Amino acid sequence: MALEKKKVGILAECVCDLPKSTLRSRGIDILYFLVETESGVFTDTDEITAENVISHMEKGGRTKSAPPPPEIYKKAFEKSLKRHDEVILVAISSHISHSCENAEKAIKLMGDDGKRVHIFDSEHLSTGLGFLVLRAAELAAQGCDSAKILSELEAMKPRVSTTFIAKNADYLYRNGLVSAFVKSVCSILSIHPVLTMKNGDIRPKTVILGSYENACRTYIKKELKGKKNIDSRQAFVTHVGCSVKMLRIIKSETKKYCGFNELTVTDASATISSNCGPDTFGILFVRTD
Amino acid sequence: MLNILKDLKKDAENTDSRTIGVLTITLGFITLFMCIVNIATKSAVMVAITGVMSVWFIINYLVYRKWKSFAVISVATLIAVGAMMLYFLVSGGKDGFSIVWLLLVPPIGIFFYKLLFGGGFSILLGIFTAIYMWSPLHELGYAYSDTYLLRFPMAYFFDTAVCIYINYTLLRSRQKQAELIDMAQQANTTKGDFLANMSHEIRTPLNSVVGMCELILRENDISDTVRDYCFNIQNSGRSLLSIINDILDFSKIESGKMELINEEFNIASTLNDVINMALTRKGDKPIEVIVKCDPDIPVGLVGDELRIRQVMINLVTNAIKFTSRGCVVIRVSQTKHDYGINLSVAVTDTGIGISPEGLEKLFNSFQQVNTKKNRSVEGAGLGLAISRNLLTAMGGFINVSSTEGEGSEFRFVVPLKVSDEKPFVSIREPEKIHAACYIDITKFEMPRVSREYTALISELRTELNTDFEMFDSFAALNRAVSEKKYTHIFTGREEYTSNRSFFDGLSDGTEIVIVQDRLNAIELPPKMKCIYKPFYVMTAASVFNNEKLLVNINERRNSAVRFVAPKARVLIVDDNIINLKVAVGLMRPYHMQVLTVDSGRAAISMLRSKDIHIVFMDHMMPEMDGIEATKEIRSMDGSYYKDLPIIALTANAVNGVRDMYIEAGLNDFIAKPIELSALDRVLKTWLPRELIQAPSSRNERRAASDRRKQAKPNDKPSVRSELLDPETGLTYTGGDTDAYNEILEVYVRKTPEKHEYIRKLFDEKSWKNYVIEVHALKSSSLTVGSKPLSELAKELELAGKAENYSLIEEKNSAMLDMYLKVAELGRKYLNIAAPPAEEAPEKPDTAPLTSITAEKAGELIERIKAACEGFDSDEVSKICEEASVYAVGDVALKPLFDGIKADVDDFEYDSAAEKADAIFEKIKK
Repeated sequence: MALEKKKVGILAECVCDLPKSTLRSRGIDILYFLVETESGVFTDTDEITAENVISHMEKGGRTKSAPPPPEIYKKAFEKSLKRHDEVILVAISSHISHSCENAEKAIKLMGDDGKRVHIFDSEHLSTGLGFLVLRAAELAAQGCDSAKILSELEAMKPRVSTTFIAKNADYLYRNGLVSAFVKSVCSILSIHPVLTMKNGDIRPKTVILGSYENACRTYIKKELKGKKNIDSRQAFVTHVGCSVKMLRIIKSETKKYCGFNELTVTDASATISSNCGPDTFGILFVRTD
Repeated sequence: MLNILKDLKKDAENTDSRTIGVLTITLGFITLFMCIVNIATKSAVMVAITGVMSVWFIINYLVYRKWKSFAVISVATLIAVGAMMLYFLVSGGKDGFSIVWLLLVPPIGIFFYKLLFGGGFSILLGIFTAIYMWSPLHELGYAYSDTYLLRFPMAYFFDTAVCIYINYTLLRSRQKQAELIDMAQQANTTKGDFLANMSHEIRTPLNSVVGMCELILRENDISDTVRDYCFNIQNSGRSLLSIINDILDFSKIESGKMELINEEFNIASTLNDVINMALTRKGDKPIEVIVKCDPDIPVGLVGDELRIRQVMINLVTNAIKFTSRGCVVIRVSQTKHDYGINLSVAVTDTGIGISPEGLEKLFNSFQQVNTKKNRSVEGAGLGLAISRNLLTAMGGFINVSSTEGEGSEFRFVVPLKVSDEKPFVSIREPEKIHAACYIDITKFEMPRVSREYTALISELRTELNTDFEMFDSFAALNRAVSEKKYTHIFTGREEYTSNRSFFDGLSDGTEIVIVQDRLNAIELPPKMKCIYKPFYVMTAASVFNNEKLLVNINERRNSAVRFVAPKARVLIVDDNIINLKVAVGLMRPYHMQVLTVDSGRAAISMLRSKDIHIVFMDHMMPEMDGIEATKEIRSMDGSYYKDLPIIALTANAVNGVRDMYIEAGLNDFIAKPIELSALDRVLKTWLPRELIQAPSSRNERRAASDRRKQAKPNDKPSVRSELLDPETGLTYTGGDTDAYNEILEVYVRKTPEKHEYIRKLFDEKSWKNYVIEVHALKSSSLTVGSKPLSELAKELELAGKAENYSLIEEKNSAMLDMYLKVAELGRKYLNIAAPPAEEAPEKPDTAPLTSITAEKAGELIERIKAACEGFDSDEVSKICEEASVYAVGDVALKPLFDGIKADVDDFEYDSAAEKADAIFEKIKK
């Protein structure tokens, strides 16, 4: 008797920073985070973009981002279950967002149907999370069952490199990630913090001194130069409002150290941008070991 | 001293409290570290001292965390640092080196606190150190070497001085920077003000240009070429006006003076206006305007509709500007929230797109991206900057995505409150609808257009919850029709003409709806229903609900008036003579009786006659503005004043002052330059229905126009002189040449008679009557534009009142000569070749007179006085006519009343009223 092929639907969140066209072409459904300002609540990407958030904050406005409420997750799961036997939500790190928590609540609301929904805590964000989403979709397209997909993702998780360099510590200070003293020191001494995702948390990895352009070159060099274990098939450059000129430099510097087959430039979502500020960017890739 | 202390306090308060906290805890850890080091060296005293200090710092930090008091933490830190210094001095620290740590006090104090506070504290410490080291006091403590004792305080002061110098230089440069920023901001504000003022100044004459064009276009006897030229001038004027309005808006936003007005509105009306504008802008460009709108958007939204519409129009206009083929898709959607909805509008086009570099500067002011490519596109480059600022002010956001060569998408979202949650479009019986739509998708050059149409129909099916099928080939439709009965079939003009017999055959049992462009619409059989593009949720719902379509897009280029109101009396109040001229001209085709005044006060006097049907009131006027005048009119006794329609006539419409006008008691408003459609709407809405008539035939109008042309000399001889200035005279008739000519003609005609009468009164030394006559001459001369004669008459009037008869005797002859000269100039101006012939003596009236009582005559007199008060010459003539058949006793009224009529003909209403009083006295006797 032939085994019944399980069809697994993949759900992602907009904080995976993958282009809509990429998600659509791979049949990945997407859930949008919400960004709250003084005047209202806006849907990330659809209603509010990174540029909007940054310009709002630059004018002294405040923003607060949050994952969708459980009801929205429930609707999305139910919609996906109509087309698939099982659903996997590849979620942003549970250490930095309530996304997994809300999704769990949604599953409880669903009763028995909830058993067919799986949540994968990626412990990453942005296109670091995006890599896991794409891999999950790839495996689902190959007809793998949820258990297989989840175990593959679990194995891949530590191999994903999610790092960012921020122009200054202002936004990190606004979000309580550093103290005013550290912010002042960074500002006076032109220190640019480099952040990384480690065990699901955002942590400072290092700092780079000097002009931002030079710091960016140094960051790329440190991330890529001489690393033999980089999976060169694909990398993402995910940025928050970097200029065209800056992106050109980033791409050429990246190519200098590692010839990725595919180097995709993506815009960070409003939620991600509100936490790191303008001109932040990251080179995100997967290691082979 | 007190000031310094105050500065110190202020300085200290400005210091970042978090920095102080961090410094304190850092000092705590340093001393703790020193304590641990001393434990290792087994120095009990030093362990105790450093231990106490570290505990002291940590307690300080905790106190600070608890109360966040700057005073507490500062005093505590001062004590701790002082104690630490004392300890270092006395104990020498680790081998006499620890004192070097004190060199950190000036940079930390000066750079992390503020200059005065940190610097003052550092100097105090330095003085204390110097006193200790350079006096015998140092013998009490650690035995520093002599070199050390001499040089350390010097090094410390040098350190302090360098830090103070650097910080001071930094402060100076920051101050200079701030001053430069201030200057730049000041310059920017001045520039903005200048721009706003200039724009306003330009707008006023431009309003006149556009208004004058409107007048010309409404003339029936102009050639098509002239009409075309004029139409182009008007269009260019409007474009310029729109740019100027943009500049004004931008200036307001820059200066923070932009006011938002939250009012209830219906998105249907907004969308309708946007579509109208889009279609006008599109003209005959081969692009499809596709509208997708969520029908569940609440019918009652609260927000600044004017500004939302402005942004929508701006985005749609841009999209049409930069798209030469394909489509422009307007998508309106919503997301529900606790506070109401987020209204989202996306405008997508298949135009030239924007490069990534262009996107970076897209929202900058005064910039159009890719200027070379867009050389043919008009605009000040302010639209998007204004849109973004308006949306920011409304709490919304705008963003754009684009691919060069493929097209762009502009999206904006704005949070709005909801006053009525009902959906703005709904179908009465959706279950009874079985509709089909046949669009031959091969007719569109771009596949994108057919995709958009297919998606539109699919969305309509879902949104309207109806059975709505889409067919992209005639064969499929034909097959479906043979199997199923449809209630409605929608199709395009081309699809219909290609399969006319098929659709005609179906039209008995199915409603066939042809969707076509207005510009090249075809005549359809009566059974067919026609709707104009764009086909969207509102038009579909109107068809399904069998309602009259709301959209009335076709604005006729040939602006012929569609009704007349010859009995309607309109009062226009404006202090600007050009505006009056334009307004009077615009009203003329309605054949209304148009009266003009130049102030609010004059308007109030005019309204006492209670026979004005509608008032157009300018807002900004000297002395009493339109709003004050309206308030006063509304406060007058009688329902007439409460109900009188008063329409604001204002160039101030961009300010969004509608609410203000309504609150002030005005009923409606028309923005300048006056648009025919707006004037039509207002007149139809506010004029009493019984006054509105269908216009006379075109031939009649042409004949009337011809008669006027014959009556009027084509070229007026130039008579402008010091004595008679027709230009000045025209200002008193609201620029109405016909009215001026009539007045001047009466003036000239009456001159011999009046001249003779004044001479007679002078000869008889009848000064009382003489004063009345010269008073009349003063006013009438000024009205025709003879200021010198008016002034001379005024001088003699005053002389008469002051009983200075010698002056009258001196100047009367000069005045009468001048009177004749003015009349002669008037004749020349009117092209009257010879002095008017003496009127034939009137035939004696042989008709029998009806005898009436003095009371009845008194009533007539009262009516005449009321008419005079209201400057109503027609009414006076009517009463005089009526009175001509009456007599009181053996006194016939006609000769008496003729004098009144003569005065009224000379526009001497005061004199006429006085005469009426005198006649009544005579009759009573």
